Amino acid sequence: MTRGKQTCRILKEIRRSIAEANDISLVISECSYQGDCTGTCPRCEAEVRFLEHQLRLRRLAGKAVVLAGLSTALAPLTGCTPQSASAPAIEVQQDSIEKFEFSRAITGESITVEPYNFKGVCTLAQAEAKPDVDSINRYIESHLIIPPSAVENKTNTRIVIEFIVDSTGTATQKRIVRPYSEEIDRQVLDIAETLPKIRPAVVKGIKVPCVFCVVINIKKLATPTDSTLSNTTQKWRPPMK
Amino acid sequence: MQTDSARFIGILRHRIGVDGEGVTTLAAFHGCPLRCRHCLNPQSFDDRYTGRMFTPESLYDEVKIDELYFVATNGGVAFGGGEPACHPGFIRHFRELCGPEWRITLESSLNVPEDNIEALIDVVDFWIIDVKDMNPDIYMRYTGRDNSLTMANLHRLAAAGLQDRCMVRIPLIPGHNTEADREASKAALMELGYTNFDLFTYLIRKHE
Repeated sequence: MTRGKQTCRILKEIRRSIAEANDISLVISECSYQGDCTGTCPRCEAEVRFLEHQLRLRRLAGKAVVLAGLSTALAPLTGCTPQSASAPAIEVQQDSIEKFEFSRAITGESITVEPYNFKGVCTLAQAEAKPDVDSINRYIESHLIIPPSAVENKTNTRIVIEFIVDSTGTATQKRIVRPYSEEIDRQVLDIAETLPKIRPAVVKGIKVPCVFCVVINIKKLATPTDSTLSNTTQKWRPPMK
Repeated sequence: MQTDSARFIGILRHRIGVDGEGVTTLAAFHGCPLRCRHCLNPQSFDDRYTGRMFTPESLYDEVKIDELYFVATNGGVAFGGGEPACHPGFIRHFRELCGPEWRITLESSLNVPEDNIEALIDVVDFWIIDVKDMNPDIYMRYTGRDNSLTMANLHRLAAAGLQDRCMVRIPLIPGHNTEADREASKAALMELGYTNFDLFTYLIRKHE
């Protein structure tokens, strides 16, 4: 990969991290330009201007803007620079996992978790082909049932679950890193136990384990018949495999 | 202290992992007191080189296009050259414009008057110091200048307790110093409390 293309890829991941950390819908198109480049182009610059505009709107709306703390999106990628070409491509520092993943999910809060040993496990940013996280999102969304009683008097609005999907596409390690309630946490973990296999991450043509977080936003809406909340008489049962 | 325009030999965007942490833009000043035998940027002391003139304001306008990356990655502007420490007023004024969120890195030989370094201590976040060699004879042979100012400024930064915000680059310069010389330089710097070193070898271009 040329240096310009490498720079472009890194900057693209930074833009993606900023968008995700601030709930900005940003469609990042893959670059089809062939040949040498400086690492940026009018399309990339336009994405930066769009992000800046969206962040300004968030500030004006009184919403928190998350920018600091995304620097570790660079940490696993700078191993590709010529100055440290001997560094393993997918060895990840534990603190970079916490800062990278949780800065996406948490706004203005800090949590303490006991980190795993992430050696040999890549992050989403490192994966050249990402695991099919969307299918996990859809699976959880389609199976999660939240009774109205579960959201009453709750101030937190999200639950974050961390997955490691191994090279066969199996979610092998699941843990709640930002809990919501004992009832909902238990349900999410039970659903995660029944996850079907997904497409695994790929680094340098090799399927590798990948760690990432899924953020489940739980909203209490005004209308009591809203479809995001289930009837209190419903109970979640494990789906048939 | 003068903050008028200064001549630059180049503005390089989107540098990653070479000027310290984060995404950085390198602003390379024209002008240097040294005449190193294997200077990477000899145009920096070539008076025929026109370069580009910037005031602190126009430079800020030029580089702020990447502010999003600077803040998101704890990056910012790296001043190099040439010798950026010859322009302390410019850099101080630039800091007033960019605010505290940008990281300012200085890549310097420290071979400048002590007042210059004194003026930069509270505006520079990270120092990348190229000492060449701590042996005065080797230093003079390679750069054409004595290293007494460099030594004084290294002591000044150490006295201010800034060693952890410094990375000292100690090159192996073919034909000028040896591995033993480099180890001696490192030992001398460690006595001053410096712990962060970049030991590397100069690549001599074929025509030199």
